[in-house]
Amino acid sequence: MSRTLSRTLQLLGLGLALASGPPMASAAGDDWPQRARDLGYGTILYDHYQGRSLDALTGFAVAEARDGIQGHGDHPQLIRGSVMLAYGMTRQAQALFEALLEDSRVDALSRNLAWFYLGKVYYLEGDNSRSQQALARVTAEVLAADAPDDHEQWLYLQGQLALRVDGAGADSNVEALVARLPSGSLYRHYLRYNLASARLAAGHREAALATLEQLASQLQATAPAQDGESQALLERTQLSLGELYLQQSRHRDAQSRLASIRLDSPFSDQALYHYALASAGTESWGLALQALDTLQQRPLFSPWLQQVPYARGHVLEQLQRPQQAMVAYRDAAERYRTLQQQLAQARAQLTEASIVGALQPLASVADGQPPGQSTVTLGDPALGSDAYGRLQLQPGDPALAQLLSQEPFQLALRDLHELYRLQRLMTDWQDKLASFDAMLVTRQSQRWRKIVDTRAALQAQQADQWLDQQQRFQRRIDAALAAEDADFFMSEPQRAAHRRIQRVLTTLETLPDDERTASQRRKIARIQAYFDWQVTDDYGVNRWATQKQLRQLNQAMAEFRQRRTALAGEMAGTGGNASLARRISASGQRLETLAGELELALSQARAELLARVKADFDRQQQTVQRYLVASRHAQARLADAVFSGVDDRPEEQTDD
Amino acid sequence: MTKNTVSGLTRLLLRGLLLALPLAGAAQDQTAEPEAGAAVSVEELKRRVIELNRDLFILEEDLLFPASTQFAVFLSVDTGRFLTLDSVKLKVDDEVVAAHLYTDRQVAALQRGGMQRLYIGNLRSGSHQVTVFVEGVGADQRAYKKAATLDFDKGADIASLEIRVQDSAADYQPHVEIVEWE
Repeated sequence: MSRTLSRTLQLLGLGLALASGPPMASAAGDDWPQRARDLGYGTILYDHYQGRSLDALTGFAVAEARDGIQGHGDHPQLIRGSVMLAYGMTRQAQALFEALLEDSRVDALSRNLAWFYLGKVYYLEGDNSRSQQALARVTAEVLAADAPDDHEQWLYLQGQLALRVDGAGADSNVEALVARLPSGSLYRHYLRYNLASARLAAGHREAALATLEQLASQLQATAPAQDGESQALLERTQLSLGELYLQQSRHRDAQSRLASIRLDSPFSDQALYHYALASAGTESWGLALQALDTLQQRPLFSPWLQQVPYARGHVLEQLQRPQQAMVAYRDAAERYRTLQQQLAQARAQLTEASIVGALQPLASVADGQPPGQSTVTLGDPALGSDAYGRLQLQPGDPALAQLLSQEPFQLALRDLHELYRLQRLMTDWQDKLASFDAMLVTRQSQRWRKIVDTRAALQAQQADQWLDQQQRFQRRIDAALAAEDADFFMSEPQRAAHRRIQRVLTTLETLPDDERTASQRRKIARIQAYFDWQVTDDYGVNRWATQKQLRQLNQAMAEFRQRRTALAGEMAGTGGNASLARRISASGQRLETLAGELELALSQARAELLARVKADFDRQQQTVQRYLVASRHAQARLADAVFSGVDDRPEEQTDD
Repeated sequence: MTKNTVSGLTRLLLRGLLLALPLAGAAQDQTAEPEAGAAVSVEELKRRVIELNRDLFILEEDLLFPASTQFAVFLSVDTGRFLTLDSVKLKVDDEVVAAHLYTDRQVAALQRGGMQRLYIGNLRSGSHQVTVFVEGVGADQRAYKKAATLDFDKGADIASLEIRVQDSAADYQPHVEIVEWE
């Protein structure tokens, strides 16, 4: 089953290509840098190429809030838009591409790509007219040279739009577009297939057949056997041809086409069933029964398989084996009754957990675990998804198989998963914010301790006394300057000499007035006169030296005062912690609001998913009920016939 | 009555045939009928979550890695022919600060031009030494181990280094170098 579903999804692969981001070369052209010229952009690309769209988009938002992305021109915006598309943000992507196109500074190459992506956005939104207008603005030659894959997509989209708008009326237009696509291009094959669908829908059966036959031949000739998507398309085409031949009662042609479909193909259920019908048409009842028996071995998943138990009885009846047919109808009725009970029970017990519990990750994304060995947790980033965000899951419960392959269910599941992821992210941030808060409180208390220590150190320095002394010194110098007091400005050696002279003079005053003392007094007077002359002579130099010291002291004191003021300001303030605390608090409030809204959105998404599953169960029950009634009627009819002796022929074995 | 039931069932059996091809065609057209309200609501929520995520990311960096001490190391790969990256180990001042084992997906993302932020932390101003050890598998399936060292001065601003793993056509060998971003 996993192969069936994955192949079915693979067949939808074209849509993935439409949504996925532009490849490096395509968004870039020749001037795309081999190496990111901006570290932030490099990490964004790293996330983007791993499919981590939310991280990549956050990276873009962070870059925008800072200095932007340098050195890459408009390419980052194109990438951003395509990431938005992949993340299901089509409206944001649309706004971005429109803004890009309104900016006259954007270069022609980027504008061309922007028109193409905008066309894709409108296409995905179902706005055919605007999509056509946007795609018409693309210069084909430039796109073909710049981004060949996008050019193919561009042709394909135009064909799809033409089919959407005009249906089979767009015949010649689409044929022309098909002719422009390279012969090996999958877009070419898909477009041709869809053209056949449109022709059939318009009632042009022969034209549709011719188109499909042409497509089958081309795919058989060109599709590599190892290319899963091409092979799936080839088998889808063969199946469609088989079905059309069957409708035209060309049973042998139908058999031939249907027989070419592999038994493990995603389309093998339908192919086998239709093969049984085609065989019945050629009255090859044995082959029909063989096909139905093969189908009977498979679990009752799809509408095709639900028909099998009844159809088996019908074929046995056609084989003129009424006893076996009766048993087959009885078994079918029993099977349908059991299935109905299972469906009713499953519906009654249906919860989100039971739905999720009935899903399994595809083997490829379950990190090496074989299918069925791992459980699914919605919101788990490890859960793989395609470029549309659709989850890579397979049904663990057959009742969900058909539903899981349907687009609306896939999208509902995608939204639920994405909302859980966002909720997880919010919870992570709430935890982080709590730790940031604790961190800030710790920082604040450490800071407070430092402030107390600093205040004590400042007090120990007796800084106020220093200031007083400086001011006193300043006043004394000013006074000495005003009085031209040369003594005040004496140098240290001069002060020492002055002190010695004063000591000698004092000593001489105590000595008796004799000749020897008089001689010494004359001598000291000469010395003092010389000293006074020297002090007067050195006044300018000494004054300059003192003033220099004063200036240095003033500068040091000014710096001291400045530091003290800064320290006082720092101690009075919060050191930036308050701003961080405010941001943390505001973020916490935003988180709380968003978490509430996410919870609401989650409950809506949950309800939508449950409603879808219940509606599908109802539909399945109705179908099963019809088969149950039909099986019982057939059983009763045959029983009547057998017991009334109407059909008393012996049973024949007619194996083809 | 019985005949009518059979023909009714046959019609039912064949109904699938009439629907099959147009349905298959529609499978190629990925436009789901938008349920506008819900879609807008989820998209709007996504937009607001991205905005909040951005603000919280910046707040986290401001708080944990202030610009004056922030130090980040990135890794880029311009190789493929001579080396497939397997693991990397980063030492700052002789202490292992980061080690990483690469998945195929990560290697592919690097080879397409992505850059991994291998490490972010805080570093004092002054001289430091960074050493990186890169391990991988060469073209001949031989195990490669390459190392590179850089001495650099951390200033008062954010310091960013890039580890470049690249092919060298000159000697057909992978080369590893550490480059300082201005």
